[in-house]
Amino acid sequence: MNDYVNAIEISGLTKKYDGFTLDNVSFNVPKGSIMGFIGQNGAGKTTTIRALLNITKCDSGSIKMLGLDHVQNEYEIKEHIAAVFDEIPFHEGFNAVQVGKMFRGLYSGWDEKKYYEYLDRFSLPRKKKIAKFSKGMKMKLQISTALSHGARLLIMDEATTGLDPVVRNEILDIFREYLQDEENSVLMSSHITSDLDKIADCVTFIDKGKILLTGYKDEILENHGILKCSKEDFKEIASEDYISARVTDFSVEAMVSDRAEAKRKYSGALIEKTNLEDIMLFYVNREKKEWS
Amino acid sequence: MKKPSFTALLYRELLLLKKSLLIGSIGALIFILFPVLILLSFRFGNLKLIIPEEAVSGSMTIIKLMPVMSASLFAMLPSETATNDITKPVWDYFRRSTQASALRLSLAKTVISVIGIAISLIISIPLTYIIAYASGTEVTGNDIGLSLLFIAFMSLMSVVFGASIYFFKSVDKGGLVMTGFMFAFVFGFMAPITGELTKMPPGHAMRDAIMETHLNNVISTLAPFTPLMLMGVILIQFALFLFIFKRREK
Repeated sequence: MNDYVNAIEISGLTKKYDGFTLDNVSFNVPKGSIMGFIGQNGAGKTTTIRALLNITKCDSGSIKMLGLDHVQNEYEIKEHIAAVFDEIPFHEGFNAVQVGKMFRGLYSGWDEKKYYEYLDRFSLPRKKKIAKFSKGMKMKLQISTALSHGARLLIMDEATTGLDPVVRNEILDIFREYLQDEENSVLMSSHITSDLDKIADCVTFIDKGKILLTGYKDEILENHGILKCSKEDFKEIASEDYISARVTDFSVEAMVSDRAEAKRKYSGALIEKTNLEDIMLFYVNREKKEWS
Repeated sequence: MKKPSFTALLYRELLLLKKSLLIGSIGALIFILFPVLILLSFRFGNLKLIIPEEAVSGSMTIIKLMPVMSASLFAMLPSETATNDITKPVWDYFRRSTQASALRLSLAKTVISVIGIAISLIISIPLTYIIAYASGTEVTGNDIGLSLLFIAFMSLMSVVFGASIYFFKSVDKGGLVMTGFMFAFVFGFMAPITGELTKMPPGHAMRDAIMETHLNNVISTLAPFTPLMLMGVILIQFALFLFIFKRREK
C-alpha cells in the first residue's frame, strides 16, 4: 500500500434522489483515528457509506480510500478494508466455523488463529447456527471477521444500534485495541452519540444531506457551549450568535458555536460545556431557531 | 494481490443449497413412492378390481410424470438460494465491500445451477426406469425425452422466477410472473388439440389417446433441442447474474 495521510478523503460528493440530496459532502478521516459520523435517521450517513463502498454511483465528487481512488483501485482497496453493518450479512443457517472457512477464501490476509481467538474472547459458540445467536452475538461475529484479515480501515454503519450498553462497551474496547496500531482507522456512523463521546477522535455531523460540522471532537466540544439564561435576557442575544435555542416557560438554552466569543460578548451569562448529543439536537433544529 | 478464491464462493453456495437438497431429496422419495404404490395397485392390487382399465390410461400419464417432475425440481433449487441473496440486500452490500467480483460470483452461482440440472438429470433416469417397471411398460426414447424437456423447462422457470424477483423486488410478484409463464406454456401446449378435445365428451377414451399422441409429438419434436435449450438457459442465467451483480444502485 502507498503512504497516505487520510484513510478516507471525500470531496464534493453529491448524489440526488427523489426527495433527498447528498449535497457536496466533504470530510477526511485521518489515518489512525476514529471518525464518528453522526446524524439523525435519514440524514445521509448510509448513503455516504454506500458511495464509499461503490455500492451507489455518485453524481459528482471524488473519494479516496487509503490514498487510492475508490473506483479505479476498488479491488486493491477492498483487500484492506472491512465493513460492518447493523444487520448480519451471513446466512442464518451458517455457523462461525463455516463463516471462517468462507472468509479464508475471500481474503489473502485471513488470520484463522486470530479469528478463533476473537470467537473465544467473545464467547461465541463455533458450531451453533447464526439464527440462534442474539443480536449482540451476531454483531460480535461480524466484528470478529472484520478484524481477522488485517484490514486497515473499518467502516461501521450503525453497527451498535440495538445493542445493550455492556455489549457496546465491549465493542468499543476492541476498537481501542485496534487503533493501538496507528496504521488502522475507523469510520463509525451512529446516532448513539454517547458511544462517540467515549471513543471518537474526530466527528462529522451530517443533516439533511449536508455536512454541518467536521473536525476533532475535543475541539468541537471545546468551541461549542450551551448558554443558559432567562427569557428576558435572551432578548439581548443576537440571533447570529447562536445556532438554535430551546425555550421553556422559564428559561432558554442556546447553543453557541464559539464559546470563548460568547463568554466575552455575554459576560454575565452562564455558558456550560456541551456534548455531542446536544450539538446534534441544536443543529437539527437550527432552521426553527427557537424550539421547545 | 491474491484474488478471492472461487472455491470460497462456491463453498458458500453449496452451504446455502444443503437444506434445499435435503428437502428436495425427501420430496423426490415421496414422489416416487406414491406413484409406484399406485401403479402396482393398478396392476396387481385393489385398484385393478375397482377401476376399469380404460379409465386408468389417462391417469397413468400423470402418475408417470410425477417422478419426472420431482427430479426436475432440483433444477430449480439454485434459484432459491439466488433469491435468498437477492431479497437480502445486506449480503449484497457486504459482498460489495469485499474483493469478490461480479464475474466470480456469477460463475459460482452458475456452477451451482449446473449442479442442480445435473442432479435432476442423474435422478430422472433411475426414476423413469422404476416407474416403467411399476407400470409394466418399457422405457422409451420419449420417456427420456420427456424427462429432459421437463428439466429444461424447470431450469427456464427458475431463471424467470429469479429475474422476476429481482426486477419486481418481490417474491410474490416473482411467483405470479412464473405462474403466468407456466400457464402460457400449458395453453401453448394444449392449443393445437383443444378443438378436437372439445368435440368429445369428458371421460371419452379417445381423449387420452389424443393427449398422449400430442405429447409424444411434442416430445419427439423438441427433445433433440433439449441440450441446446439447457445450454441456453445456463448462459442466460450467467448473463443475468452478471448483470445483477455488476449493477450499481442508481
